[in-house]
Amino acid sequence: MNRIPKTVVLFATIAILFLLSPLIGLLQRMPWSGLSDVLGSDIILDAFLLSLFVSFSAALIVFVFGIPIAWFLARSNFSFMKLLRAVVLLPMVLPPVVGGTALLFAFGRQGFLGKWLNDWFGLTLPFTTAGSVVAAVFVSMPFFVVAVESAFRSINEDLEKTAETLGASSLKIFLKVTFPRIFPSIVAGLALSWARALGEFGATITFAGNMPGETQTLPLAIFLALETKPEAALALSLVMIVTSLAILIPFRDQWLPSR
Amino acid sequence: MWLLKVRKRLHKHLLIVGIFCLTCLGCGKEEQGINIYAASSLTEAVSVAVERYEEISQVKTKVVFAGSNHLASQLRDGAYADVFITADVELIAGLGFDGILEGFAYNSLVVVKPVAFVNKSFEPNDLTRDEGLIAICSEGVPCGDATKSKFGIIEADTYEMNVKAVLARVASMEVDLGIVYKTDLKNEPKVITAWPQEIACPCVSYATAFRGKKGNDFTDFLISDIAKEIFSSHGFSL
Amino acid sequence: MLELNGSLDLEHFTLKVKLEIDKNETVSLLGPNGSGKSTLLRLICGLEKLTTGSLRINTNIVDSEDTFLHSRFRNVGWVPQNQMLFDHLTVKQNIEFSPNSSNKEVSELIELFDLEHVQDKKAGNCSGGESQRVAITRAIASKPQILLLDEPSTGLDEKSKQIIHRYLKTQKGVATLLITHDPLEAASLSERLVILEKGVITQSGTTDELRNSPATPYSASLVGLNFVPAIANGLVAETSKGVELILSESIQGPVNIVIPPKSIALYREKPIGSPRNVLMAKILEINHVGENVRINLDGQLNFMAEITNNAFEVLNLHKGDEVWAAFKATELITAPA
Repeated sequence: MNRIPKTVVLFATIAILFLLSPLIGLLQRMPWSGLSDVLGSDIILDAFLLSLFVSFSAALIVFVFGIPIAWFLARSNFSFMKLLRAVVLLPMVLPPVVGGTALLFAFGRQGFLGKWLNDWFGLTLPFTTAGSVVAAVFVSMPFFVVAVESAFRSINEDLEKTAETLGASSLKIFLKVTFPRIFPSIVAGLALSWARALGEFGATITFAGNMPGETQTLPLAIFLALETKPEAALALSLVMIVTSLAILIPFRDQWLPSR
Repeated sequence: MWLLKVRKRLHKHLLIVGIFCLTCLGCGKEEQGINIYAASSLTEAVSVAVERYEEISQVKTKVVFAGSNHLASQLRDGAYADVFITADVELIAGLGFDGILEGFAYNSLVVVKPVAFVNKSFEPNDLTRDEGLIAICSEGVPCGDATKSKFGIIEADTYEMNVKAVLARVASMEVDLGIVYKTDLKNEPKVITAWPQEIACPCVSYATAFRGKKGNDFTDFLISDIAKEIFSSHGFSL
Repeated sequence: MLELNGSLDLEHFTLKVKLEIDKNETVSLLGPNGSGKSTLLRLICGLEKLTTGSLRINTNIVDSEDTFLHSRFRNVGWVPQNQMLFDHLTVKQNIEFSPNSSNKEVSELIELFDLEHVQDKKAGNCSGGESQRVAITRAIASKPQILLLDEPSTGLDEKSKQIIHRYLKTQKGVATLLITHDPLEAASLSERLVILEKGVITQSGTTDELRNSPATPYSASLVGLNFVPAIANGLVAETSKGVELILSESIQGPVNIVIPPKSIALYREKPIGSPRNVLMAKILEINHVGENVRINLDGQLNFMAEITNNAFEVLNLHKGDEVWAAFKATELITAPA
């Protein structure tokens, strides 16, 4: 049993109580008796399934594109690296609504890319589920990239170079040497970015709009319900909390490096 | 030595003053000006009215514009307002206001399109077809309920939380059609009526809830000729 | 099969080397820390690029002004100082990692290096000695044209050291360049020693050549000799500290003088007699080595004397004692600097 200084325990306790109190407040107000009725309603089912679809789709896209970005940032030597990294991390610090507005400027019907997509392919992103996924990817990508880049950096480059001298191809080296070592960070980063995607509100409502079944994810449904049907809002919040915990708890250990 | 004593006393005084100021931050509102909460559809008109009121009464005013439901839930959670102007009179119940003045102004709904689409023609059937992009207020907020009762079910692509958001969608050309208030049409140059419309119904009625002397005074001002002039020039019916 | 003649600019100095290694040759590379030995290995691997000059491995020019062959295609077996094993793979998976490896040879090597009992163990869980053996085996299994070993037995247990030495001595057919700090290991494993100091080869030859005519103080210290640079004027040479040494042959100009430790006799009283160099010194350290005693001395000159146990007991020497050291002019080995 490690001896942790009393001051540390004190501060930690205060912090944990602070973080737990809103949760306790929520559970305290929960209309437990009428819960089953509210939970069964269509609107909640729609929002729940949509949120799952959007957050997992976003996680997949983040995985596929985030690893190359992280690799690039960790291993390249261009002079504008610092600037590039700042740009990649920008969505992390940008207020989500600003992010959503910016996405409109790019991919909206009048946006410089959206216009082209619309004219040439008949594709519109705003007000579609795809748009919700785009907004979710935009805000959650940096979380994944940060985790994975730091993992790449922690690998001694000589390890991969040794594998090269043995004659292995780049693909083999990535799959057999690099990937297994960065895997824990990938899982942790993916859990983090998935959670961010699930909770995304500002960018989604600004860019993708609000339509039940298409773009009304759980956070949007909750926000709307808060003003019209507060019990539904509470029930929806419960759904969100349970969903998040169900995914995050199994991956809890990945957050911690092996002692 | 003596200097040290003085410094210590000074610090103690500053601390007391500081604590007093902090506690006052929460209660300052009640002493100074008047707090007004108003539905976002009233933004332009009430802003002008409030300016005139300040000139006339010399009372400082603070106005908050947002969707009515949003304002109501804030008031429920403890925010303080002397006046609450909303298109949904049912929201006022239980918020602790002294009195309600109903129907001091009216608004109508109108279907609009972006001004850049001036040569593109639309017709009422487009509202129920799946073709163009349409934005309307969400059910549960006053403009959304009014939309539903006047236009029925619409094939919308996004249901916004307040009327200004709908207006923004049309103004930015992200959607083809939107249903907003007549007053919004008047105030926003980037949107025009989608087709010639009989704006016959006053579909939305505004009510003012007030409390205390300050609230009372302001409400009296709202039905004065000066205020009436301001509201009608902004497109409201009276 | 390897021909290197070029230079590489590094942070503190320039590595400038001309080196040739034959197909079956084992060459030891020695030198003080930071002299560029590991960098030289990296250059041959293809992890560094020559600034000037060229490198040829067998028939291919792998590095020159207008060519550079990636390390993947050079077929070199590199064993870096910290092994760089793939920790999450088993020992066997590490050894057979190279696409060039063959199952039969991998099994033979595992047996040869006594790794059978750990072949399914994760490489990250191996002991120091096991790790080193795995690293070397892995490199050998890739069927390299040249084996590059960076301090293969430094800090290893005796058993691992023996296994590695046994392989290197008996198996031939692959050119080997190994870095070591131990001149005895170099002598036993290789035919030729190359000494690298501050990026430049100061000596290249057999152990005997090194022993007989060390080119620098470092070389001399490797074989345990006293090395003294001086300026000679006829039969007398003067060191930088002003000590005069009497030589047996006349010579002019800057010279390097070696005083073999065994030729130094120690006295309590200043000896008189035939033309000899006589210096006063204080005993710094006493080390018993087998039948003899090595004594480090400091005074007009910093050097080491080696006397018999008998002589040591008769003189009753202790640390800090002041003695006289004498050596004949004929025992000195003098060479122009």
